Amino acid sequence: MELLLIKEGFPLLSFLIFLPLAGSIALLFFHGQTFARLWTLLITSLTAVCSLPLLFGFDPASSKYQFAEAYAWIPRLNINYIVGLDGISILLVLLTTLIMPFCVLASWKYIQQRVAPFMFCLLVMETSMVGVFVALDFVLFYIFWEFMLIPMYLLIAVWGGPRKAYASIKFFLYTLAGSVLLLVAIIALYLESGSFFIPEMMWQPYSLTFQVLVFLAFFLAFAIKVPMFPFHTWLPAAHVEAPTAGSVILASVLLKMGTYGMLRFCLPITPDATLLLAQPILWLSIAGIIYGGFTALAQQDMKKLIAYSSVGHMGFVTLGIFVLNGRGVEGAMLQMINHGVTTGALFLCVGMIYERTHSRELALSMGVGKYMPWFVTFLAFFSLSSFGFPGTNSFIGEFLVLAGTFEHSTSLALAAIPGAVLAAAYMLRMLQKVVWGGTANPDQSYLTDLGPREIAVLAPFLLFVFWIGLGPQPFINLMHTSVSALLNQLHHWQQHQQVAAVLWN
Amino acid sequence: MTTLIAYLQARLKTVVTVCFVLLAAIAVASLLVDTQHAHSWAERRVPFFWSLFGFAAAALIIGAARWFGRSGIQAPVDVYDRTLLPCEEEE
Amino acid sequence: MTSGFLHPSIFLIAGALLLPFIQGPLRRPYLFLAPLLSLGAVLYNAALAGSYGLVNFLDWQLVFGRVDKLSTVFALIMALMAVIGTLYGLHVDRAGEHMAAWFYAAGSLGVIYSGDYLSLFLFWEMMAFASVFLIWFRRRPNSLAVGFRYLVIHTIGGITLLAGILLHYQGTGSIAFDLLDVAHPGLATWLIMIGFGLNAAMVPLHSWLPEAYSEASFNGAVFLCAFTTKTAVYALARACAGMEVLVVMGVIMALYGVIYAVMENDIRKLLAWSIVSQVGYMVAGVGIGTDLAINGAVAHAVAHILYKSLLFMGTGSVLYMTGKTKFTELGGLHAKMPATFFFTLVGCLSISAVPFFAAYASKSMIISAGFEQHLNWAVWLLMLGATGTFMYNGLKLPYFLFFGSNKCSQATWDKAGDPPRNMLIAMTLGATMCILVGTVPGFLYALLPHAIAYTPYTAYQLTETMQLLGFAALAFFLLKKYVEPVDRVCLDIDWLYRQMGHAFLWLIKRPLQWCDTAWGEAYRVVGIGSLMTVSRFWSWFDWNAIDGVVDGIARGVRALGGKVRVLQSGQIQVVLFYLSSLAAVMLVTFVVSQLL
Repeated sequence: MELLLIKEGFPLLSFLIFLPLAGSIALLFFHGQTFARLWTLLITSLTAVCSLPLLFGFDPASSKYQFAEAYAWIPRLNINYIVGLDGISILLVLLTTLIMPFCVLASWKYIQQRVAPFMFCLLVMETSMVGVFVALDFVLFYIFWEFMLIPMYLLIAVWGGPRKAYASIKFFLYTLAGSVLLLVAIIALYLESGSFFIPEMMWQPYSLTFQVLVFLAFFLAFAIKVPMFPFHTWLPAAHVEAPTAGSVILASVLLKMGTYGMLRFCLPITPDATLLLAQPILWLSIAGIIYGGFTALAQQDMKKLIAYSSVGHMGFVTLGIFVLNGRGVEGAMLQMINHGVTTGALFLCVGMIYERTHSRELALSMGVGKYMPWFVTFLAFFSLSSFGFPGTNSFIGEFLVLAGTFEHSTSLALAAIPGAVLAAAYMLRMLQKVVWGGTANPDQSYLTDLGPREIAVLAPFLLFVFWIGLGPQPFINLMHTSVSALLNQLHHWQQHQQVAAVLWN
Repeated sequence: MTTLIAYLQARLKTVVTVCFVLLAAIAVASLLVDTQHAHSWAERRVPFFWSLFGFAAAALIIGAARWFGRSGIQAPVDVYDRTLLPCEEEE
Repeated sequence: MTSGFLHPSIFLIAGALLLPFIQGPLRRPYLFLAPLLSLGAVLYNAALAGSYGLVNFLDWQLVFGRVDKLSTVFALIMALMAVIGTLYGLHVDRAGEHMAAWFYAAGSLGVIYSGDYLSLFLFWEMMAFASVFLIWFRRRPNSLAVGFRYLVIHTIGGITLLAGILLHYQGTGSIAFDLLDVAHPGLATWLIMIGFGLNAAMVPLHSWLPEAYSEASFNGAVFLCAFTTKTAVYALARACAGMEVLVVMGVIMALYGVIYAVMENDIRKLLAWSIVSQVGYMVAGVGIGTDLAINGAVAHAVAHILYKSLLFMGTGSVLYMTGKTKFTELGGLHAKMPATFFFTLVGCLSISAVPFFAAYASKSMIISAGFEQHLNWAVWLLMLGATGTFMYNGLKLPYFLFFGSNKCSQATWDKAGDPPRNMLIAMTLGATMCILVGTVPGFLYALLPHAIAYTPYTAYQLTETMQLLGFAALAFFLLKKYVEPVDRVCLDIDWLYRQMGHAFLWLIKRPLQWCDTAWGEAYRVVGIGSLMTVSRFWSWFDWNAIDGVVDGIARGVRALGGKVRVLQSGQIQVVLFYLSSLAAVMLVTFVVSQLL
């Protein structure tokens, strides 16, 4: 328990986790559309505002789990309610809480049927998402992890596009399959160590076979979530069919749960297996970057294009994680936040176009530049950010990841470079088509430009694009201590075990 | 300016003669000038070196350009529209 | 920011951002003022030396103001160019064009003053993305496609540069922008050189230049011709001076440009090929690497900016007034556009290195440096190229555009005339600078990075040049009909790239998308299919096997129950009898088990 910095007084983390859930109860009784929207906006904004003390009260110099709370839950089975925040999770929690109000705002006009259940799903999802990032007990983690599947499924299945049944079931089964393995691994760890408390399971001398099996189980579950090639095929379908808010949550937060899991579980709990299997995973990441780039280039549907671009971007994140050095991991973590901001914003933009043209086909939204100048300005900046233009947030993240990869292996980094070129190519292509179109543009004169609500939704994202791009130091400071602690422990471990050298030369 | 050119164009033959005289003068000057600062062997030994070089170089370039052009580099103006694959008009 | 250094880009960027708000009569003075301020800043900085504008960013120290003779001379000419270019386009109404041009110039000045690779990269990308707008603003049907090709290829160049920077940082631990290890170039050095070289239009990465510059707007081209390529020359001079392969590359560029320019029909494309050719001289000079050679490359860059912009201004005027750019649609314009003719002629004489005009002072430096280093083969080829330059630029261009047979349509002829006053003033400025630099090269030489005593006005040099020019002109007029422009497009390496590009896209669209769909289908057929088969089996098993057992047990129990029911009579004594027997049996069993 010395790893935890217990928070005295007001249990902030639990409050943040359960406030949305409590708020959602009200929606069971009051079904009015306007009430649902306003109430949810209120709750999510309240959560966002209340998460800011996390930022101010966080001690960036400590690698312990801060704001921790520990209560006994099921003592017989050693299952406890333990939550805590460290450098790795704080930015993700803030991303989640701050993005939710914007999801609500984006759905203001988009969702017209069954508004109260929709908002209910959003609030329940927020609970489980925040819970995932702060849970320090395995069972608690698993519960929150699974908890978010049903609302997401409903989000796609009820409020989704034409092929929603297919996409939602695919999403659900794919993710569940991975999660089942996760459960098996959790139980195995419990049997080995006798407790579900996550920090206690880290850096234990499990046998190599055990580690490899547990690692593979974890890895599969998280790889499906990330999504890594070749487990990514659920993503395009889910993104395309989901409503805007669903896509934003999926892209910005849910995908990060996978990479968070890799950092939180795969590395410290099964370090030998990580060192052993890092090399093939790195090549898998490269495959994802290149593959995502190629498939994105071939898309006609904007949402699918951005979905495949997510595969590419998350490839950079996993690349950064598994090079196992400071720059790579920090770059990967920063990229997680960047991707959340940028891709979330891009999906919001696509949603706005969809609300007007009722189609996501590129061909139908060609040449809107003339009629929607505000929109294309925002879209242009977010596209620049997406392929890592200097001055924007993704440049810093990609630069750090590439610097870390170069430290690890030159050939690997050079293999990732074409991915950056492809990213530029497909984003520019989409931008060209949307803004100027070609010679046979459909008549877009009926389009109205962004209203104040929509500008208010996009502006904070743009702010973060440039803030992180020009002044990333504060963000990196938050995560630095925890990342260094993690890597230091990994390297100490590595010095005692020489596994990697033996098998992978 | 225009009047000056019109004036010269009216007396084209005179202009051409003057030019030839100038060329001759330049060629003669090349023989008289001190070749101390010349960079290479050829310049010192060969008389009218640069005149010959200039003429030969120009002729060579004209010839080479014509040859390249004829060999297919000069193509009809709509060459790209014709060789494009049918479905790709975006690029 | 350390005091004493004013970054000129700030004035240009701030000026660009404020421009949309300045309307009406204030606009023209404002347009004139902003680049003038940045020129003032550069002049102010010229007195300094050292590193300024140090900013701590993450683990690194960025240097935004590295001032020395090399950066000062380039910054001066670029800032001057910004003034002249803006003046030339003063009457253009669309704010976007000026904003793009100023961001472009700001990027260039930023690269010139940057002392580290990160800030260089930021400004490098700024240049690429701002300049593409100068192409798009011409608003022809194919401008969009041309601009995107330009952008994609510059992004590729930028990413190559970034890879080189990262690798270099990995190897040396520093991001300082200084001379690389050119004697034994590693992968990092090659990548950085290629990244710079793409902007300098090194063959075979040059095809973007003729296409883009001939498609740009009439005033955009004036900016384009100066900034990208010469900033790249600066970068090469800073980082790759003395790299031998650059000599070969420079010679190839010089000759390649010449041949294509002689064939070319479009007047501005001809000038664009001329840029490839002239930059070849600069690249060769950088490759030679001696003090004289670098001086020569820098001087040539300055001279080139001056005369090339003048030439683009002249041909831009023709475009602006007549709307045409092909020799086959023009000709005989001296009568209607005398001032334009005069200024273009000054530019043509300058590029041909006619004595008392700009390039005469600089080209000879590179030649002399080459001879000093005994790179004779390279030098002879460069002289060949110089003759060619005179041919297409000093003879072909003015002759077929302003004289020759008049192929203008009536509409074109009617529209032809001298352009508005601001354009003429800009051209006057440019022409004056060209003649000044050519006649009194001393003040240019004083700005050059290395102190060298050199004068091009020796008797020998003069006669050499006059012979070359005179007899080349003779050859031209004798062989004139072989250089007659024809209405054709010149195919270049970009034909290969475009075919490859289409094949590439086709490949992605069909097979890869097919693969992805196939994978999805496989998932459906194999995954779901087998899943359903297995589940149907288990469903059968469940019903027949398990339930069979369960049902069997249930039936058995019922039967047994039926039998047992018989034992139940309603009478209490019978029940008591059975109960007590049962209890007795249990007691006996218990006692016996304890004894055992």
